[in-house]
Amino acid sequence: MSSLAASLPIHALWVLLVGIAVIAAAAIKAVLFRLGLPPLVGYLGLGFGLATADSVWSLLDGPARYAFEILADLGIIALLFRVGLDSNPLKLLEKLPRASVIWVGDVAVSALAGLAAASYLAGLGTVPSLVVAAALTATSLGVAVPSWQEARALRTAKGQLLVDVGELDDLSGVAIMALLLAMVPVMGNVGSMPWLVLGRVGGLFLLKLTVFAAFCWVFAQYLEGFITRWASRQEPAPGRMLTVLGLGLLIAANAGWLGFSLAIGALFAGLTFSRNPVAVRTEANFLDLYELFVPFFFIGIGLQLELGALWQGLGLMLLAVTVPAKLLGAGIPAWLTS
Amino acid sequence: MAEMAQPAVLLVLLVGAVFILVALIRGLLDPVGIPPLVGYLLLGLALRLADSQWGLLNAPAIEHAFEFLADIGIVILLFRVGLETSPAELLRKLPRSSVIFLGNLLVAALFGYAAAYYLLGLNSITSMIVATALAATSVGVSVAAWQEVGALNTGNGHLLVNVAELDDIAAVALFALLFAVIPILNAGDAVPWGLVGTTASGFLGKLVLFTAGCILFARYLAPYMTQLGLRMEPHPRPMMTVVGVGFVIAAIGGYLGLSLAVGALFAGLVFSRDPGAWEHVSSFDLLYRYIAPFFFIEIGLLLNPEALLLGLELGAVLLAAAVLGKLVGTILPALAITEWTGAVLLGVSMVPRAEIAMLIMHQGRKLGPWAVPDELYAGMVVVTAGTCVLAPLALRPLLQRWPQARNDAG
Repeated sequence: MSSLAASLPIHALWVLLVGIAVIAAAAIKAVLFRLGLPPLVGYLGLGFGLATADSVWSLLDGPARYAFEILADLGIIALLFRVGLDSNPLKLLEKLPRASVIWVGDVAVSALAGLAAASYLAGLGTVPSLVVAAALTATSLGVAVPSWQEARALRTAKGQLLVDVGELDDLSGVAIMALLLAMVPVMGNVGSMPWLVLGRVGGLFLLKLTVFAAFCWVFAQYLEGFITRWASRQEPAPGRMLTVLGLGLLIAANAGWLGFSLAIGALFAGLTFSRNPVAVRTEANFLDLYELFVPFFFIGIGLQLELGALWQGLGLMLLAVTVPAKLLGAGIPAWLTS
Repeated sequence: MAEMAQPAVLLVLLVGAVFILVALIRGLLDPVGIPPLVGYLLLGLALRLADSQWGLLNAPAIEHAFEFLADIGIVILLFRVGLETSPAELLRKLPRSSVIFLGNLLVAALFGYAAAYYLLGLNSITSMIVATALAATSVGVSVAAWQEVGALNTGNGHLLVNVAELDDIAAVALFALLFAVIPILNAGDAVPWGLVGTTASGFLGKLVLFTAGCILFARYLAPYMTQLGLRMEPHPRPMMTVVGVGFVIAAIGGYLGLSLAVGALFAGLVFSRDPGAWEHVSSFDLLYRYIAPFFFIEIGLLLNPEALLLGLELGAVLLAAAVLGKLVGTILPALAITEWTGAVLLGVSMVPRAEIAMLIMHQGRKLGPWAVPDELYAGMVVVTAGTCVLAPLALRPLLQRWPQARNDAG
C-alpha cells in the first residue's frame, strides 16, 4: 500500500487526501451534530487517523504536508476571524460591569487550577504549565449554546450573561496566549526566571499590541466602511467577500509580522469588521469558507498527536481539574452576584 | 524582506494580497469586457518579478502552497466546465453543431501545427501540443458580449455554446491522449507506431473504464450523495460533499494518468445531470471565485521574464494562426447552416483561447523545456491575452450591427 502513495503523483495525492478529508469532515459534522456533540472532537480524530495512516503508508512525507499546513493556517484564521466578527466590542464594554466578576473569577480559577495541576500533579515544566493554564481559561461557548437555544433560554438575562462571559473568556484567552508566546522564549525555570527581561518583553508586547489595536481601530473607524462599500459596488456577493477576507488575511499577517501570531491577528481582523453591517451581511459567504477551512485546523492538531502520548493519563487528569475549576470559578461569582 | 517573516506569515500575507488584487482586477476588467484571467496572468508575472527581487516564494512551504492552490484551481475550473455541460443535450444537438465543431477543431489544430512546425521551426511533439491547445475555445469570453445584447438565447447563440462546449471536451480528450503517447513519441528518432498504438489503446481502455465508472456513479450514486449532502449540511449551505467527491474523482483521474483536469471535468459531468447538485452551486461559486484565479496566477509565476521578449515574437505568429484558424475553421462550415453574418459572428466568437489552452501548455511545461520551452510558454500567454482581448472588442460592434433574431432559437 505504501507503493500506492509513492506511485501517486503529488498533484493527484494532495487533491485526493484533501477530498477525502472534506467528505469525512462533512460526515463527522452531520453525525456528531445529531448526537449533540461538537464536531471538533471528530475532526481531531480524523487528523489522528490521517497521522496513523501516514505512519503506515507515508502519505504526507512529501509536499502533501504543505497542503494541510496552508489549510490549517486558513482554518485558524477563519476560526478567530469569526470569533472577532461575532463580537461586539462596544456592547461587551457596556456589559463589562455585570459580566466582569464572573469573567475574572472564571479566568483566574481556571488558570490557577490548570497551572497547579500541570505543574504539581503532572510535574510539567513552567512553560508547558503556563500554556496549559492559558488554554484552560478559554471557553468554547458554541458547545453549550445549542442546549440553551433548545430550551429557549438564550434570550433570557442569564443566557445573555453566558454569551458575554464566554466572549470575554475567548478574548482574554487569546490575549493571554499571545502574551505568553511573546514571553516564552526568554523564560527559564521558576528558580531562574529573568523577571526584568520578562517585564521588558511583556511591556514591549503590550506596546506593540496597543499600536496594533490602535491601527485596527483607526482602520475600522475610517477605512473599513469605505472599502467594504467599494467592494460591494464592484461586485455583488460572493465576490465582495474576496476583499473583506483579503484584508482580514493582511491584518492577520501583519500581526504575525509583529510577533503576535496569526490567530490574534485574525481575531483583530474580525473585530475590525464586526461593526459594519455590510461586512456582516457578507458573513453567509464567509460561513461557507468557515465550514470548509476550520476542520483543517483541528485535523492539523490531530495530525500532530502521538499515539503513545495519548495513553499517559495526562488528559484525564487535566479533564478532572478543568470541570470543577470552571464550575467553581464561574459558578461562585455568578451565585454571589445574581 | 522575505527573510524577516516566517513562511506561514508571508504565505498568509501573499494569499491576502492576491484575494484583494483578484477583486480589484475583476472590478476593473469586467466593466470593460476584458476577461479577468488576463489580469490574473499579469498578477502572476508581477509576483514572479517580485520573487526574483525579494525571494518571496523561496520557502518550500510557500512554493508548494501556491502549487497546491493552482492544482485546486484547475480542479475547480474544470469541475465547473463539466457541471455546466449537459452531455445528453450536447448529443441531441450534435447533428446541427457537428459540422462547425469538426471544421473549427481540425482547421484550428492544423493552423496551430503548421505555424509551430513550419514557421517557428518547433519539433513535432511541441507542435502537436500547440495544435491541441489552439483547438480549444474559451466561449465564456464571447458569451458575455452575446448576453449584453440579448443574443445568447437565439439559434446562433445556442449553436455557439454547443460548439464551444464540444470543442472544450474534445480538446481535453485530445490533450489526455496526446500526453499519454508523448513519452513514447519522444523515446527515439523513429516513431514506434506499434507501441504508440498499444499505449493509445491502453489509455483509451482506461478512459472507457473511468467513463463507465463515472456513468455508473452519476446514475446510481450521485443523486443519493447530493441528497445526503443536502441533509447532512443544512447549515449554512451545502457544498462540502460535492466538492469532496469532485476532488476524489479528479484525483482518481490523475492517478489513472488521465490528468487531474480530465478527472475534474468528468467529476463535473457526473453531477451535471443531477438537479440536486445545482443547490450546491451557489456556494461552489464562492470557491470558483477564490481559488480558480490561482491557476492563472501560477501560469504567470512560471513565466520566465528573460523569455518574454522572444515569447512576444513567437506569440505574434501563434496569435495570427490562432485567429485565422478559428475564423476559417468556423465560418466556412457555418455558412452551410446559417447566413454569412451569423457565420462571421460565430467565427469571431470562437477565437478566444483561455483556460483549456493554457492548461495544455501548463501540462506540457511540466514535461520539460524539450516539450514546451520558456519562450513558447510565454508566447501562448500572449495568444491567450491577445485572443481574449481582441475577440470581445471586435464582437461588440458586430453584434450591434447584425442583431440576432430571438425567434429562431432551437
